[in-house]
Amino acid sequence: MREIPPPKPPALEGRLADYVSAFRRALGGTPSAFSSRYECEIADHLRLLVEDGLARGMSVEEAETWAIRQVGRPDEIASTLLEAYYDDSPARSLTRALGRGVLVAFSIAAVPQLVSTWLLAWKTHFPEADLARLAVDPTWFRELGIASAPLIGATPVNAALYAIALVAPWIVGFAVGQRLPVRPSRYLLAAQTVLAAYALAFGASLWPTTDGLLIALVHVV
Amino acid sequence: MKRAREESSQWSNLLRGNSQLLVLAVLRDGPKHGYAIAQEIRRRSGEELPFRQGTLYPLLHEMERDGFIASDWQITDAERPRRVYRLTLRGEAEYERLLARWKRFSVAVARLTGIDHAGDPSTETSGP
Repeated sequence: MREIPPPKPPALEGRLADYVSAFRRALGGTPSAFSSRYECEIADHLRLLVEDGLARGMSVEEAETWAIRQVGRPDEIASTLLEAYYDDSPARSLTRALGRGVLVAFSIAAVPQLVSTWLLAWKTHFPEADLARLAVDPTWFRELGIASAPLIGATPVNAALYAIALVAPWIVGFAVGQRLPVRPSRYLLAAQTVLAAYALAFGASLWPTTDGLLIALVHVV
Repeated sequence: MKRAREESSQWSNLLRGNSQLLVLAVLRDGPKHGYAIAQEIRRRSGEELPFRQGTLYPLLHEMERDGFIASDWQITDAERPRRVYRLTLRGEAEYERLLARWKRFSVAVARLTGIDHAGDPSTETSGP
């Protein structure tokens, strides 16, 4: 054997090709020295397993199924590899933990903040209101937003509760964030998108007040 | 079924905790590629350590990062590129350290359970 520079990932066919494609996608989809290397190694490993399976008297299909089962799920391998890759330096590890923490904390913090503020404002501003009004009256959205601002911190208890509501989700978020895989799941991102759109609508409804601008900026950014 | 799953999970945990030692032990005999490492672990353990092959590459990545092994691409006789891993001096020292730790652990378990030779129930004695 002779030493060579990193090769291009080999071309495979059929189920093995599907497997390697899934592995590549799970690694991020972007070709890099890191992903090419492991793509190449996994492909080679699968091919050797298939050859082994054929030597044991399996059919091609059986050998491919057996090889894929031996290696395991592509997303799991990619996830563990990425974990190891991102753990390479303390700075990377810290950045990742912070990134996850912010992501989760934001998602968790946004829900109680928006819901509690709105419910509080709704109860105060529209004590007699019924839910049907929300669906038919276009002004409720704006009125409710403006009404919520002075309520925050109006009493020491309110202020304390609001402070807890602000801080607690961040603490929980960082704790949960540490346990997340490297890339957030698509569901988390979808939830964030919905929340951001919701916050944008909330902020826009208060326009052109300063509160509205501030809330929109904080929640959307 | 559940019991078998638990057993398998416990076995996997034991294996995971000692997987670096197994890889280092296999590489002491000479450079090998990933597939050969997995096969060798399986063969030399008498098929008792079914290394989940997908977990091998993250492990190799970590060991390379820590300087215990090194690797480079080589072309096989069949003109296929293959990453080949070899033990480093640091890896040799790590092997000695892990082996000593394992021996200490297995001796302690043997003392506790009254087994003369850890891992071989046939040599179980009547008590400490």
